[in-house]
Amino acid sequence: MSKNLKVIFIFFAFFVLSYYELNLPYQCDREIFYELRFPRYIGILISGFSLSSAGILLQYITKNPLADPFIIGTSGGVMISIILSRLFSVSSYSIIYLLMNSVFGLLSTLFAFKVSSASGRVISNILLSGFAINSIVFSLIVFFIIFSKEHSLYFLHISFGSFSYTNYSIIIHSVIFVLILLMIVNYILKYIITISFDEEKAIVLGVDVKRIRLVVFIVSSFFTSISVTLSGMIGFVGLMIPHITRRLFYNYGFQATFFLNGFLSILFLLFSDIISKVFFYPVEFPPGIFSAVVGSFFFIYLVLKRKRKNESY
Amino acid sequence: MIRYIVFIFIFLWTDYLFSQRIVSLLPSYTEIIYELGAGDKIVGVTNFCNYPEDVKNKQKVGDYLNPDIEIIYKLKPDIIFMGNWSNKIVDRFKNKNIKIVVLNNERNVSDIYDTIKTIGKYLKMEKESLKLVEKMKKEIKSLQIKKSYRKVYIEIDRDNWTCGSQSFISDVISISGGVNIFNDINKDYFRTNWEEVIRRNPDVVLICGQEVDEFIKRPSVKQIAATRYGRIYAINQKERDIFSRPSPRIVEMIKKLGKIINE
Repeated sequence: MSKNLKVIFIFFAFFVLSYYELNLPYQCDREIFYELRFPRYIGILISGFSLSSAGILLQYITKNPLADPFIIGTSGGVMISIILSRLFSVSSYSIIYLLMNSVFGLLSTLFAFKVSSASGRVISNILLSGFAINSIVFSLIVFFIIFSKEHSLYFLHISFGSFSYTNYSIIIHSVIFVLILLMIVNYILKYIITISFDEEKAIVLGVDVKRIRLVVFIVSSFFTSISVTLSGMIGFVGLMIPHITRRLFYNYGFQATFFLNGFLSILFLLFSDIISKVFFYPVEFPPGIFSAVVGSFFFIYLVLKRKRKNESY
Repeated sequence: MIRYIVFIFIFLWTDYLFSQRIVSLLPSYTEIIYELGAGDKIVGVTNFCNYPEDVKNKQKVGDYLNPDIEIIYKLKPDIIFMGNWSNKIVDRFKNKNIKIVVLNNERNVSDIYDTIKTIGKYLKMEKESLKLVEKMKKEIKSLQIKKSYRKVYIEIDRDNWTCGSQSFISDVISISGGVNIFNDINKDYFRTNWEEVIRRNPDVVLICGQEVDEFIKRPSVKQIAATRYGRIYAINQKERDIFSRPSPRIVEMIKKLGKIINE
């Protein structure tokens, strides 16, 4: 396929899936469309875009094919914040909700960053810190299922993702956040490319690698916070989609890859939502189950492939 | 003196032989046993049991999914009533001299009668159980509900958790004169889509664990008939317990729902 044909195909798929997302399972009237279906659709767009953007930034900057906001524990940190804000009844309409989630995501990312830079074994350390945070989160969820029956179902459901908690005020807040983050990414773009090319050469060229790496970690943590706030914890999208993007669009520039990556992730989430609408409606089916099944097999495949090449961590 | 002591000892021993020690592992079974008049024989109940008041004095053995087996051993029960929860506990007591009665989940109100009869059979109180069933049937009949067949949406838990035709709550609603809007879905308990609720347009909304004011703030809520005619009712925690337990108290709930739905 030629270079442009791929892009055209992706946009075509995007429009088709958007059409089905907005018109399934039945044609609705204007009010339901604007109050329920459209915010859900916009939520999927922002959430998908920011989740895989976080993934691709992390993978570029750590040069680690296994880096993913879910695996390094950022999503877990945001989940802790979501649990806390539900317990203290912080309204999801206020900006405090998104800010609080971002702070928790940032803290857990900085924890992963600190652990990863503690010694030379970057990749295994980053996985270990994520493992620790994720197990804390899941034990918290089980704790609440046993002791607070009132909220347990909510926690269980949002830990596998759900698109039905979006509203317009959250969407507006997160759009502002995403625009600011995109500006930051655009500003440090050249440094990211240099580091992902070769770290030593970047140092020689005068790039402050440590600082840029920290900034990218922070940016990706904010991207993840936005996504988890909008749609709950959808694991492995940030891992899987950048890999597919880099395989499909290896001969594109960084900026194009970045945006196409976001679009692919949106396509994946729209597809999983349409599947749940077609097969399970009117039962709400968490998209995280679908992505976890596909994504964990992909993860295992990546680990095995690495082993075959005799590359050690 | 010794004669008296021996006499008392034999008396206590016979008492121990003939009395049943019951452990009930579901709140609804506890209520049924109390209703049959065997409440004093119960030695262990679950943490969720809160009716009648006397339950507070009984030993708690944990929740129904994970009861504390050590405590149950200590209580030395003769008979354990438990729900059909595919539980490992059955195997634990297999070789002991304990009778375990596993009762099926209730799917409608007549299943409650069956449960009462089964419990009566194992407690050797068949007469009382038949009497209780007759009493319940008579009470429901005497309510003389004029069925309006209004469409009812019941939100058992927050965030659109509702029930389908497999749940006995659906049957309770139909006995009290309404129709559950999710009657066509062959499930007992699931999370639904808010859009679908609006499309099915319920005439009556029953919400648990939430206030009516909070419910009205939801998007597009003004479209459904229940909001237009003001038929949104919040069910408080105490009533929710009655509602979610297949026990003899369900008659009260049917009476109340009959008023709410057909008003």
